Amino acid sequence: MTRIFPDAKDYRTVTVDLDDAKRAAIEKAIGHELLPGQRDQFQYFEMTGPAGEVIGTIIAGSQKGEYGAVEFVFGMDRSNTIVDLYIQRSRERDQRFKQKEFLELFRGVKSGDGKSIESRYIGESTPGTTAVIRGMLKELTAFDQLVANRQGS
Amino acid sequence: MKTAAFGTDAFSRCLAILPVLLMLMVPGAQASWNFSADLDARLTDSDREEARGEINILGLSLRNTIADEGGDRLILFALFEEHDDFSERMLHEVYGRYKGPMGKWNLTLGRFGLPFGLLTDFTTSRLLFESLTPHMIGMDVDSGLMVSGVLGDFEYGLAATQGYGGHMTPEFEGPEVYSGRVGMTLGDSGDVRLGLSALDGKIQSEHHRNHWIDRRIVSADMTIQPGWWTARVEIQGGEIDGRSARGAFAMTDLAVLPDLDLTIAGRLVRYHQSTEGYGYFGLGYRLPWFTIRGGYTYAHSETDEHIVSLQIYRMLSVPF
Repeated sequence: MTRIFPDAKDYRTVTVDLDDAKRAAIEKAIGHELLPGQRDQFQYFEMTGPAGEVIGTIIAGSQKGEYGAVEFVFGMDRSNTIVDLYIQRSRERDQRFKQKEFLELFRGVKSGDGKSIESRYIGESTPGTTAVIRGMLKELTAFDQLVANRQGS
Repeated sequence: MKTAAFGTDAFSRCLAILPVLLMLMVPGAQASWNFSADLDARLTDSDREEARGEINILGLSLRNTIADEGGDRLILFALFEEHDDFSERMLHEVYGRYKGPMGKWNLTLGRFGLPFGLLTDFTTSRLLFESLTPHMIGMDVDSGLMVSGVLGDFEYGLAATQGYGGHMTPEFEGPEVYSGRVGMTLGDSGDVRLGLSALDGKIQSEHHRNHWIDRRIVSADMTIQPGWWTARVEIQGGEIDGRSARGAFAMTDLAVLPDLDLTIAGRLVRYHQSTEGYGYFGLGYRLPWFTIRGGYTYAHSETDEHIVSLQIYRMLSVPF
């Protein structure tokens, strides 16, 4: 977290419940079902400054890869624009999705523009790149529908 | 023999109501909860003992994270376990953790995992092959106070505890055990973790009340997780009851196929003038609802032993 927001003083865990309607809307937008552990709640972290004000958002997401879950962490600024992304853990054989060139493709994407992620990568598709792209689309869509739209941004 | 460690005494009741009291102390608190359950059923056969099937562990845990205006502030956690076909039950862990800003410092009060070696982040209690923990320090959790935190790539933990472990009901005040670890994480994804630890104190024998064992152990640990394989190594040395003790442990997990893992591990413990060596080779296969593990252990001490184990393991976690 401090890697993405070095000026943050603390963080707060926020959990949003998903009812059937919200889940259906997210699944329709991303084109596939949410994973079993992600169907009932959406969780993110508010990064806070000295006075407790929110200075950004951290989302720790995961998506099924070929060898289990690919776990990734990304941060968004107050305008809900991605500022950085890194891979937390994965067991994939093909490690190209960890390369800087791939991860930097996501910088600058706004939460409401998740669909653009799919067209940003024109390289060879691997289980790792596919998992990150699908996972990012899922997390951005969920955040946009459940949080950003309610903020009025 | 049926025992109920940490079950009904006043100390247990005090710790059980700790979460409620702490929630009341945090004005404007927001709480999130997580319930987890896991089941470890296994069948073991060896050339020295009869085959035995059992529910090795049933674990039920509850975690409550409480946030105030500035951020997450309190973590309350309790893990209840039934062991050995429900013949022994215990509150294996029960603690309240006050989290400082960004986790740079945390205060933990209760019964918690010790900041020592690989044990800080890794336990073999649900695996078919044990680490050095039961052989060298004799317990994986203890009751007391811990200061811990993360500072950039560095982490630290220092605990003052009673030495009763997880199997015995603590009595005040109990003898003193001090344990601590400093560690660092390397790599963009935290691929490499290194740590140095020390423990000093009297620790109660796991199943014998008022039988205390002096332990003074230092440890160096390393975890490497670059991707499809994970390696953990730990070397320990020191004294147990005034006699020299040394131990080494290594475990490697390899993702052979998408749902199939291969585990190779070894453990060597030399205490005074005797040496015990163990080698393990096992496979784990993930099914939609269970993980099945099977393994062969070769034990070498005064005589050799060949052990075959089969395990069904399931864990579920539900936030609410």
